[in-house]
Amino acid sequence: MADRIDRAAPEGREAVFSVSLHRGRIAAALALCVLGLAFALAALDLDFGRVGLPGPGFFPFVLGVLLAGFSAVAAVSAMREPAGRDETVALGHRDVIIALLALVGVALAFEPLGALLTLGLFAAALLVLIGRVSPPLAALAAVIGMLAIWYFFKVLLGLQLPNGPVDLDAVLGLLTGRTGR
Amino acid sequence: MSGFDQLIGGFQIALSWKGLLYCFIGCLWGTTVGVLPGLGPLAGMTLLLPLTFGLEPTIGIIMLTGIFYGAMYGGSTTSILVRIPGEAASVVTCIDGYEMARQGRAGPALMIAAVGSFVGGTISILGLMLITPPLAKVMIAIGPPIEVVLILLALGVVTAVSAGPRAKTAAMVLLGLAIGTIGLDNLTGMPRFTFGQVGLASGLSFTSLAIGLFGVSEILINLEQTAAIKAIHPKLRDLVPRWNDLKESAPAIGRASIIGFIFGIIPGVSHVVSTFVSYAIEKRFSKHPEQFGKGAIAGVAGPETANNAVTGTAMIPLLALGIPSIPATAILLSALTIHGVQPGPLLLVDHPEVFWGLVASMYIGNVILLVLNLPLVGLFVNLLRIPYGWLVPIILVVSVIGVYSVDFSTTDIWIMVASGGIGYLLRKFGYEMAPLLLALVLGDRLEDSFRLSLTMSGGSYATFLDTGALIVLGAAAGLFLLVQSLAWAFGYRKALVDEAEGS
Repeated sequence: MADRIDRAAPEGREAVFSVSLHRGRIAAALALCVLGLAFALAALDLDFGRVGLPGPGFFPFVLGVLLAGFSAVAAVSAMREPAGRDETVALGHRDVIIALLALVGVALAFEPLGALLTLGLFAAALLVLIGRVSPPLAALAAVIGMLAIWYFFKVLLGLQLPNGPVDLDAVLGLLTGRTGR
Repeated sequence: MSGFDQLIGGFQIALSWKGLLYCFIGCLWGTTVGVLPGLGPLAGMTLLLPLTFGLEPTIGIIMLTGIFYGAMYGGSTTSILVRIPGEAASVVTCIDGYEMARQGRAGPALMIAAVGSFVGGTISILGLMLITPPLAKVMIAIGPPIEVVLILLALGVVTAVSAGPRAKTAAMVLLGLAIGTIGLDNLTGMPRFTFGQVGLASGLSFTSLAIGLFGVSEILINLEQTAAIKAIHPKLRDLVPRWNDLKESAPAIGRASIIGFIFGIIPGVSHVVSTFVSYAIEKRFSKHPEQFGKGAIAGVAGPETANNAVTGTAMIPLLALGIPSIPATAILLSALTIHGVQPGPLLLVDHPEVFWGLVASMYIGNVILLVLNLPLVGLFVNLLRIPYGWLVPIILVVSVIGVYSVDFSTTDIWIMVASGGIGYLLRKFGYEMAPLLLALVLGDRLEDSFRLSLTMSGGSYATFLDTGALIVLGAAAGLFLLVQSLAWAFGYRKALVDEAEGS
């Protein structure tokens, strides 16, 4: 697909900053080029083998070099393109940042807090901050969602999700007379 | 056992309560993601991939395939009623489909799209059923050198037919191959780029990467585009087409079935290309080409038939060779591998129930979709009224649980979050994720076959140019050149780029 050129963001949800599409293309290509070179360099620490009998380092080295090469071509192509006056790419859109931060929070809290509590808080936060739902309604939806997760994933599918300090699994099991497999 | 007996066995699996239930779930979810703008078949499949881990391989693959062709059906609904393509293969349908809807003829457009999809899909399954077994028999004798040639050819074609700049696509292919080398080396057991982390010994989880790169990045991109959607609501009684509609659509459906059938085997974005080629051919065959763009029903019938005719034949390279030709079949490959089933020439020998169960379920799935899409079109259109901000928590919660359930490790959640963020940034600057995914799936086999070939030949690279490999390469290159010429002749690339820039 061609590069995305952003339309105006909805009111109150504007992007934190915009970068020139032209510069962004160059930066992305250069970042991939550096990544390719780093990959090739790291591959040199592995056994290269011979060209006729390649070792574990041969393939990653060749891939790293080729990645750097093609990315360099993409960077040069981007540099040659005339810079468009109004073409910008919005980054840091409010909702995108919230969603990413919330996901980082999930990764951090998933085992210490337990799956049900973490995902319940995550869903409630997203509903309030992105879905513009009132906090009481979001809390209710999150509780229903947690119950649905517990029943579908733990009771029906028997998935072992982390419990955390509050064993909601046991509480729900006692309340409903059902337990996860 | 004859092929017919095996097909009967396949129907027994597909018509079991589990087969029917998961086929229905796949079709329903596929239609839903097809209808919702921004969520295509890939995101839909990756999001539900973890749910298949607890299922038998055949049932899991039935569900995932149902999502794939269900999304092709669903994509037409929003194209016709809202002028927003639910997924890339429905872009062309917007042109005449929406014009018909504006003229109060949304019903016939939807009906013809559904019937064309059904016919195209069914013909394509026939092709899958008839071509795969003999092709697998021929390919059973292929060795590592030919496998290397085939994989390189598939990746080369994917790069060549991409809509974006080829250097960028090649970079994505190479990045996918590079990521695939992380973990223990299959031939020597030496750890590569694991940085002492035991969790990385088996490599980066495909599920986490796929959900991150497709699912999460797609959601993040969509969060930026929350423009209000105005849909045209047709009534059920308006669905019946006129006699003239049928007369104009029937030949278009026939031609598009053949186009989709042929394009399905070609690696790359075959389902998208086939719709553009079909549209252009219909315009040239039409007695009233001036009506195209103003609500010509053949402009709906052709592309919608073609994109569904691709679904069956796109499975042939996967099931007969073990090489996915499009990202959707790469996800199917991954799902089968997780279940311990290796697609390829031996699939029909080792796991015939998977192949025949899948074929039978696709016949049933096409009927389910026909029944599901027409009466429930109003319901699917109403999905567009649900604020996207309400859907995001549901999709992300399912993704997190799915990713975690693969290895019960939070490392996989981190990988998903990181790849989601990186995928979002790369997509903002015009990098496609599909080639990366395809390369990621094929990387291991490419390297293993490459090194094995050289070991077997005593280090001679001439092994890649032996007669068998040359025949495969020549035949595939010829077919590719033909398709490329057609695609260029009908201006598909330009149209695709224009559409993407205009969206």
